[in-house]
Amino acid sequence: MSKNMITGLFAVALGGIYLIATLNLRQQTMGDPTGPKAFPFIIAILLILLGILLLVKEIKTPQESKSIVFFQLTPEGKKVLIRIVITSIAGIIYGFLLDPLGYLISTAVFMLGLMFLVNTLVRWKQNIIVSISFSLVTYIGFATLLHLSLPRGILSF
Amino acid sequence: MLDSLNYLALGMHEAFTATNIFWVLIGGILGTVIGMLPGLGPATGVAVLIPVTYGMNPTTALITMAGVYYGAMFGGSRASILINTPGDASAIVTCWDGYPMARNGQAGKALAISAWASFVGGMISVIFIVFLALPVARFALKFGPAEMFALLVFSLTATVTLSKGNLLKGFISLCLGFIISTIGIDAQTGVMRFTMGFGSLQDGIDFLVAMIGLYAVTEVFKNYASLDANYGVSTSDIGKVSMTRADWKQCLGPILRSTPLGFIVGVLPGMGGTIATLLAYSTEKQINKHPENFGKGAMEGVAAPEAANNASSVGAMIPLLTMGIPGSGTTAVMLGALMMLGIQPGPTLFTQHPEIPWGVIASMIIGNLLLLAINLPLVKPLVQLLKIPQRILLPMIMGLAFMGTYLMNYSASDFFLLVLFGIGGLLMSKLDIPIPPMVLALILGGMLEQSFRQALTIGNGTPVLFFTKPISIVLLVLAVLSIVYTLVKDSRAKARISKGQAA
Amino acid sequence: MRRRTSWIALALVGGMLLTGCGATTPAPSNNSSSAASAPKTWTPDATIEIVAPAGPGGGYDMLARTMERTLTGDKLVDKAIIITNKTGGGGATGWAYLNTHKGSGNYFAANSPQIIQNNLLGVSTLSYKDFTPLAMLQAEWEVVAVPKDSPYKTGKDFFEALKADPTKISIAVGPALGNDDHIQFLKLAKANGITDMSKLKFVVYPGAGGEEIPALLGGHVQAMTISLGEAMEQYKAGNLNILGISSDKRLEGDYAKIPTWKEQGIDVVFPHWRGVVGPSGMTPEQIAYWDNALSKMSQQQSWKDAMKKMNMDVYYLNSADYKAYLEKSTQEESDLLKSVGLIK
Repeated sequence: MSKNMITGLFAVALGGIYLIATLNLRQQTMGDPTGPKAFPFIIAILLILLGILLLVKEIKTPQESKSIVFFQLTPEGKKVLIRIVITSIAGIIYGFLLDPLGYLISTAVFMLGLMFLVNTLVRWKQNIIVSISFSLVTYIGFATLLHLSLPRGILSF
Repeated sequence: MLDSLNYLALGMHEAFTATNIFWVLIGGILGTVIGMLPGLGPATGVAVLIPVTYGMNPTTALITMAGVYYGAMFGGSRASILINTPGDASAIVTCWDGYPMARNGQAGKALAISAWASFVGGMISVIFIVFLALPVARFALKFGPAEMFALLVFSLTATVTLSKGNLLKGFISLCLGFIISTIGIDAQTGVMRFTMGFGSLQDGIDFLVAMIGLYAVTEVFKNYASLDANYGVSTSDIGKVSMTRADWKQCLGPILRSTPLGFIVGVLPGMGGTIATLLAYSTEKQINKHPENFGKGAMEGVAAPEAANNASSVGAMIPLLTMGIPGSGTTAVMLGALMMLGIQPGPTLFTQHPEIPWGVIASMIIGNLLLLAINLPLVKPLVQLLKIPQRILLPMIMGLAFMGTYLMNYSASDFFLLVLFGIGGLLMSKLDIPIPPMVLALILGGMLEQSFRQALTIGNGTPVLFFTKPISIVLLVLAVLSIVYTLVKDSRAKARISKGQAA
Repeated sequence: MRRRTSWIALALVGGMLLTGCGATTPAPSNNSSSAASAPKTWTPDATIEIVAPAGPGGGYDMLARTMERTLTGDKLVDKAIIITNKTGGGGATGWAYLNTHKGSGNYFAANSPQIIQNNLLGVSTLSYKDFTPLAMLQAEWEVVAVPKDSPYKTGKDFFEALKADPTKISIAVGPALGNDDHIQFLKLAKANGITDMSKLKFVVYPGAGGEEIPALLGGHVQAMTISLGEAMEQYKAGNLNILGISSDKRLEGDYAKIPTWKEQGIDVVFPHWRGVVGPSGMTPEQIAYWDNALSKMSQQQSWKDAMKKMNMDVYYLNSADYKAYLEKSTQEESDLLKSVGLIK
């Protein structure tokens, strides 16, 4: 499928879902006469129209000038995809650990994970040094010197 | 006129003390560093200084905070140029040509241009503020809901016409941004919209999360494909770190045009810096002889927004100093800090304590000079950062992105959104959907909707205000013209190509 | 340690005397008297954490930071104090965070009528009942302002005109409906016999702060309902008129000319206050400790000076009175919001 085709279909679908969600909003008498629905309603209609226009234009365009997305992954592409997935999951886990464990520990762990993922297992010494010093330097800089509140977690002092 | 000069002399006298210069220097350095980090902007920089300013006299305190503010403006674009990650909303536009310049091996030159453009823009604006503060403040009062709406429409159409390629896709991207901007509690009525039951979405999605995700995280994801290459540029070629005479000749016009524009827009409440950079960039692209170079590393594309940005940050001080009204998040924090020192900025400040506002204005001159002196030597070491191997740099950018996201709301629940935006940005770039309209619509969408509805409320539910206020009419007509102009230009370009093929 | 206790007892007597003179008399509560006599007293056993449920620089943050300065600067507590900013949910994120430390006496959070309003408006499920009220600390007053060339010179003029035609005047309010600025106006409208409040043209300015003021000065709206602190500078400069203030008697100095609503025959007295709450499950000993420390704090000169600079009145209520106040005002605001249809 061509890129514009996917974009157009996506726009129509999202616009449709958004339109339904908008129509289900609560209406409020107090406040302004326009209400909370009007603006989203305009946007939803606009998005659907834009999507349709793009689709119509794309169908008229000759086949050879369309840019196509390839879904088949090369072995290298697979590796990249795995890295992206692992990073994303690590980021979300980091979010869950930050408050209970505190900034220092959870950041060091998160960075260590990323470093091992990207910088290979062989350079483990470098990985450990970079992770721990990143966590320490940013903590000292922001929490200690600038008094921004970073979670203390289990290192309550 | 003479009065202003007398007062300025008083201000100079007030500002030029060793203590004040020391603090403006500290503030400038701190601001530069904070501005460089994604998610941390001038508001945070000023806020962290509040405890430090407790013991100071009010002028020193205000000068220190102004130093942080301008420092962050200088610093905000560093990361835009080097790693395509704007430090703040007003640094987004600088990415468009700054990063391509870095990729072309001109990182040093781009940084130098941005520092000089910021400096010149800032200095000229100080002259404006000395002579024009009051008339400009009066002019800004004319901007009610209808005028704000028209200005936002005009700015946002500029983002679409600017984005490379397909106009339709630009508008689709714009709509995506609007959709995200409507998530959360509706400010006018308090109705909860599109939160899908997540309590953390009540306050809406912070544009900074989207910005960090769509720029920093997406950029890291893209670079996962080429881990052994160096980030952005080859290490041997970082380019010249200074501006030649020819560079100056090319950039001076854009700087001089963008400065007054940025200054006036900066006085308006809200997202002054973002709108100013956008309008400056689009104006320069429209009048340039080689608009096709924009987006591929045109020097003018760095100089114009940088000058406009600094000019707008000077302009933003006007409502604070003359009316006591904070036009931006940063100046709101400054207002709070000043009140704790027993100073209430406002119309009486100029008559009762002229040394304070004029001291601040004078300190802008010192601040700009010092920031240039800090930033030019920083160019070389900063460019060296690009020499860090990708395998170490990428995790560190990731770490900073997460830390910045946390510090924005002191909450880790945004991490999920950050990752989501990172992936979303990657998909969008795979589909050739331009990202900037979406980010800018997200930033400005809330204001657009609010001003739209405010105007309708005042007009008893009719859109009469948009078509009766002269400023609003002019801006709306300009918006329509800019779309038509782009369409005509595109179809002409296409006609020329097909003609060329036929021949 | 022993010397400290006697100091506390002494200050407590002084505290009771002083606060006893205030408008709302705090009965010498059982809690405070038990602090001096009870064999078991409690003192903070680790770093004290004040939660500001908003970003740096806002009203909550300034309250928290002023507290830190007075409490540590005047040596009223002997543990270090750190401030944690938790943004979101109109304060709810910070308050929810506070309750992750249930039963601890080392944590407390700044709060305001928001804690009541959010709950009533359905923004948050937390109400003041989920916490331990510790003290009300400061108050500011609400006003209605019009441009200096406005045809309305008194509160009566204004509300008469509004009663005749509720859509005649655009009223700026910020940052959201259902907040204290808005509630003041609803109370005023109600007291003036305006029945159809859904017709009133409220123009909401949700921005960082004070965008109502340029809107008023630029003539885009004809009135605004706002706190005195925000309108003050323009009032002093003569750019706008203030029709009335929600305090029970006239203020002093620059503001002596502002008539109260009460003296104009409009029965509305309405403070916009801030205070602190602790997590749920605090022990009587912990509450007693803070009753004592915070009452002392609100009598310190440094505290009074800081409040004055922020255009606030020192308005201290101890934990028991504060709780009673919260209960009463929840009922009142709920009735009001129901009557105008903002909640069901």
